[in-house]
Amino acid sequence: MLLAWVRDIVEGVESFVVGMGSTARFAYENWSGKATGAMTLEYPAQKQAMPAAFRGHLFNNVSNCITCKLCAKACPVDCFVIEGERNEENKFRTSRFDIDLTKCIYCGLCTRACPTDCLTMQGGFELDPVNTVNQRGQRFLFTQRPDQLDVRLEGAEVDRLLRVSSLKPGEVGAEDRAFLDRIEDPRGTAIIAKFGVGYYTADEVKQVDARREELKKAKEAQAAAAKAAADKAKAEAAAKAAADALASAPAQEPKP
Amino acid sequence: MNGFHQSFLATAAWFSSCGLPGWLGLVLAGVVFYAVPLFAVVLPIAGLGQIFERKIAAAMQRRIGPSTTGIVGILRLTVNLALPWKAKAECNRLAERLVAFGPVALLDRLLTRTGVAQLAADGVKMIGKEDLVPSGVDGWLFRAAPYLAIAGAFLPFVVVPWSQHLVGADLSIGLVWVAAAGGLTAVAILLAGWGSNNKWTMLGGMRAVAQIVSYEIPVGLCMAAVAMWCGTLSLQQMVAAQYHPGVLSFLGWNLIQSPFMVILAGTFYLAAIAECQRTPFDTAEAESELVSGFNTEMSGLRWGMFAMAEYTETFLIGALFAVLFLGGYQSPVGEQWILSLPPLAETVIHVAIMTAKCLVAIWVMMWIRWTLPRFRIDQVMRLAWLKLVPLALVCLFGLALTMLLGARIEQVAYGRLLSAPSAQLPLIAWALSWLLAGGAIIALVVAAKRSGPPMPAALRRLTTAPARKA
Ligand code: SF4
Ligand code: SF4
Repeated sequence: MLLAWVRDIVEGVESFVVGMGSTARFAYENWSGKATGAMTLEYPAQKQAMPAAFRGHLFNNVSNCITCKLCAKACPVDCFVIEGERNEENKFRTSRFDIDLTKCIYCGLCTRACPTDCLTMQGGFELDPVNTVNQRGQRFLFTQRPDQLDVRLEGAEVDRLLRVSSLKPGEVGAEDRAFLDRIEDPRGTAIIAKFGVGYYTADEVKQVDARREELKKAKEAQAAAAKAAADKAKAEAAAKAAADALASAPAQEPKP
Repeated sequence: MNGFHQSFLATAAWFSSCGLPGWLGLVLAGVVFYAVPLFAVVLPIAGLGQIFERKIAAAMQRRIGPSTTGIVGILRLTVNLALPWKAKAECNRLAERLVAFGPVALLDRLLTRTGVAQLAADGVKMIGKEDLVPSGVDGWLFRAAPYLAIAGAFLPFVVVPWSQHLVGADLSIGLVWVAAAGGLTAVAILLAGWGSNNKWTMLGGMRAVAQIVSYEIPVGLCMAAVAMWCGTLSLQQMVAAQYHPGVLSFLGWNLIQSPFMVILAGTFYLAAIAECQRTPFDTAEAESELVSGFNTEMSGLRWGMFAMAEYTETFLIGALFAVLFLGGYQSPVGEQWILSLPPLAETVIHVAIMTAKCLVAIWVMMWIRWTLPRFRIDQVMRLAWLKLVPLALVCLFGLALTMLLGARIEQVAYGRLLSAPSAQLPLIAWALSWLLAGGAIIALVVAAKRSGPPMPAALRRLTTAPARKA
């Protein structure tokens, strides 16, 4: 019994020493840079290539999209806002393709539904709202491909939007509401306000820019025309009043 | 040190002359002169211990550990806490530019790679957390527990000697004080467990108390054995008893006085780890069974106090181990020369040596933590009652026998009695004790190994170095 007791202790000590030895070996190899060293990947600095079938951010190659909206039907969480229009040659094309990536659960069902395979999932998985800067020095929200988004914000506006978006719905004041309304998509919906993402090719962006200019010019022209018309009417009224005054003056003169 | 104590008394007198009651003056002066320096030294060390541990754990698990927080992070944190929204982006950019500057970059790299800056981040995080007191808890107990834990961890430091002159109070009952004040921890954990009104904390608290009470016994026996050997309970005198003149001053250390001392040291170390609830004995926390055990409901600073208490206790164990077995603050070589230095130099050197010994003890503790998995509570108790207590008892009697024998030999050989409190046997007795006791122990071990079936193949395979992958 005594021997069994001693044996128990001796074996315990033995296996303890073995265990300590193996951790010591690991520590030594790690510190001395022998063997494989640390397996940690220091993520933001070192990045790992994603496997081919990785389900990252969605990307739509809009030139192949036929606006069938099958992806929108397949999506279990309603991420999509899709609009189509006819172009100059009367061909149908996608005029708007927004995916709200904050809703997206990256299930990939939409890519399976797509008949032309233009909607695909890419390797990217990072969304940095603040530091994503494109070549023009403009910052964008929630997109890996900022040149594909058609709403642009400058630094201070981004900050303000981040602050406003962290408020609860009830806390958004009238001023902030006006701010949100002001930064809406030129096509009519405040996609930024609901943190959606628009995907457009670079060409499309140019077209949007051109169209925005056109719209602006047309609006200005309209305003100018209206102003001219108003001016003209005013001038006419003034002239008429003057004429009336002139006409009535001599008639009144002899009265007194 | 005497001058220090004088000024302490003078300050206490000054407080009393300001109209405070005498005891309050003493307490206040004690806080200023003793508590604040102690906290100022031990708290950062305990904090650093935490970082140290994370780095060691990382190395043993093929990870990197804290490696990112640096000057930029600290600056950003400060800026984000202190400045309004508008200026933040600019300040962040400024911080980044600052760190691009050579010397700052070097410092930043040092802080970052060693993980030291992480300490600041952790501290701020802990302080910034909501002070959560769940409904249904026993408010008083719940709130008192963290303070008691801190008190239990720090009070024993009062008697720990750091040099000939630097010791809080050299009580004649030093070891008893350590055991008694350290017992507060058990109360703290039980209060936390009971007061949280939660089944996990309750189980954790009960386990902790059962465990601490059990392990008090082997720890107490080890302390008693060493106290008997040195003939004193005062830690300062215990260190003095291990003094050995000559170049090789480590020859006087208790650890190598007898094979029984070696076994006692191992027993004490294990039992002390179990007493401060560290892995593999952390059944009171047992994340895999009890969420977080006794501190499940603690958050923010309350949790932080428990964590701080834990690391302070590891430090305490290191200090105690050094005092009991490794000659306290004494240098392994040339202690005689250090003692002849002026008090200030002597104190500095001794504090450094003591800290180094503590750090080694802590390092081994961490090494053990990342090697062994957690024991079940029944295994923990069995280890205490069936292994450590008998082992400590046997060694206690062995030591007593050695002392008797040594005294007899000394009487015969030198014609005089072993002079208390000299802990060191005469050379002949020392050699005889190693031969006899060591031989007996080895014979027992060999017989025991022969008595049963051979080591299981799986364990044997483990004992030989595994084949490396190409
Ligand atoms: S991946 Fe899934 S959730 Fe995301 S847009 Fe496609 S269908 Fe919707
Ligand atoms: S399913 Fe494909 S083609 Fe159809 S609308 Fe969606 S992306 Fe375009």
